[in-house]
Amino acid sequence: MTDDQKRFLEQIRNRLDESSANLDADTLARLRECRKQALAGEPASADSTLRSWYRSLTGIGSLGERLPVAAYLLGSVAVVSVAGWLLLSRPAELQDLSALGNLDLLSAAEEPEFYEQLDFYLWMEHENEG
Amino acid sequence: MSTKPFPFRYYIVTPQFPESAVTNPMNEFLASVERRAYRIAYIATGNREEALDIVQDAMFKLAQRYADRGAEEWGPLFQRILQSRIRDWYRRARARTVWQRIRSSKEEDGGDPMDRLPGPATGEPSKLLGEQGAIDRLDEILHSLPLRQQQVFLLRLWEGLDVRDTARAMGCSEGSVKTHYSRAVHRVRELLEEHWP
Repeated sequence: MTDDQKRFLEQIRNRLDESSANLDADTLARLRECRKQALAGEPASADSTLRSWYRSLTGIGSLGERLPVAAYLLGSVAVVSVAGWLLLSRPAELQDLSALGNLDLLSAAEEPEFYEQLDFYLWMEHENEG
Repeated sequence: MSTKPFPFRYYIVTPQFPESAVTNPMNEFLASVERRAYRIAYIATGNREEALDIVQDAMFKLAQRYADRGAEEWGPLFQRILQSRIRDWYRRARARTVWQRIRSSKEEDGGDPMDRLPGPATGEPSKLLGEQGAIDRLDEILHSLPLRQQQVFLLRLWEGLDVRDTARAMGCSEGSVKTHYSRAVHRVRELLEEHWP
């Protein structure tokens, strides 16, 4: 390693030392709190995975910011759950009728007017036979 | 197991806890390493909250599992736990990247075009930005390194670990440490040289 390279690396080391020595008061307070919690037997990892996902999904971090979004997500889940429950709780015969009763009509090539005038065609055929 | 003291340079002691430090050696140890641990985690993640979570987790695991070990073992154990937590974070971050891509592609479909214009340049020379600018630029460059290079660079250069202890902390071979360190030094110099005299 050349002297120039050693000097360069020493400069980086000094910068890193300065950066850790001059951490802001808020970060230092948070670190003390982390230490207290760790010594009291409270891991951060229990919910840190969820928090990480949440941050990446929403781009926000503090509790005050999280609450409205969390309420919105919970509300959405509730609406979807109720809708699913209502759909599944319909009587079986109604589901069958709604599913199969319209199937012929939907799949037919004829115009809907044909079915509206079906009684007339049936009557005319009966007259012709008569 | 060897009782040789670990070659960390734990000389920064947080002064706010003198009474606890006297009565609790683990607290004293954690207070002496927390700032550097935070900086290493911050450089790796680029996020304050994530870095604090990683540090707390590493502290918790050390205090819970290894408090009964000799104090001279805490340094290497803590560093190994910390590096492991950072690697875990990277693995999770890769999965999250998929979600972020989906989100960003949705955001690009609509919204104000002004929002998508690039922000202020971040690579100004330290001469113009002063001390904090130089540190931010250094953080940025270290953060941009591949994780292995970043870890080896900080452990070797900043923590003062030798090749063998670095390999142990990172869970890789000594040859791998040498290769990653050489590449990291070269890359950092290349990126930083134009900003630092």
